Amino acid sequence: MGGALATEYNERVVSDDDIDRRAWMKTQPSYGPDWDAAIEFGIDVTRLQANLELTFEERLAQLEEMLRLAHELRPEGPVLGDQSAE
Amino acid sequence: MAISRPSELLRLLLEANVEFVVVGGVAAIAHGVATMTDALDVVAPLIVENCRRILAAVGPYEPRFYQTLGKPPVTRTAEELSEFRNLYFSTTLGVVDFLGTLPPIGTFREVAARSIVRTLHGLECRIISLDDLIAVKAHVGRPKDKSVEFELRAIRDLTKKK
Repeated sequence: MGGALATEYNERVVSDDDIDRRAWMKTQPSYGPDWDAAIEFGIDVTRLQANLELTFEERLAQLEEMLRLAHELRPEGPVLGDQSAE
Repeated sequence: MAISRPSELLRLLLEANVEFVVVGGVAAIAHGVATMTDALDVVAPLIVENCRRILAAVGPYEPRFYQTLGKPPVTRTAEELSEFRNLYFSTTLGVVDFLGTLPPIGTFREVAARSIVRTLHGLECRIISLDDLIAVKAHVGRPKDKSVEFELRAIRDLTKKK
């Protein structure tokens, strides 16, 4: 899978800090002890900040778009209780 | 299974003048959390008139008692539904749970008294307050609630400072 671009990219070194962004988030301004605790717990607080820029309707639209995507990506499995294949 | 459309379910409830306050995962989304949910939870007075409005709102969307064996369709009258403590409905627009009370906050009136109002589809929609939702998440205490509780507490810190 993947062409020349993917091969070139895979050769770059990805550190744990690229995935676990807590160390970086701790360098950003703190808004209080619960903010700090959320970062330590593993919450991506940058997403909370981004969400607060949206209206309630926009937040719901974002949720529904994610639900639609999850529905489309879900593998087609047997329906619970469906005995037609037995 | 159909894709959940909580926004559309809320529009139907609002247009049918159902008395309710949004609680649970959708309320958390309303407050800004990033954790997804596919169910709509509301606290609502399960009195006959409100149950009549609930049936008017979701009746055309094939409601079923999804937590009952066999998931039977909802064919009960408003009078009969008012005898339930909670109503757990699945519809073609997703799941909607109507809770008669919300521990540890209390009744619909107690939740509504401190709720906030947001505009949705041009209508006023009541959402449980941030402090009450944090209390509910702490009370329920499942791992998934704990994660959302951390998000909500962080949002409270952020909004206090702004």
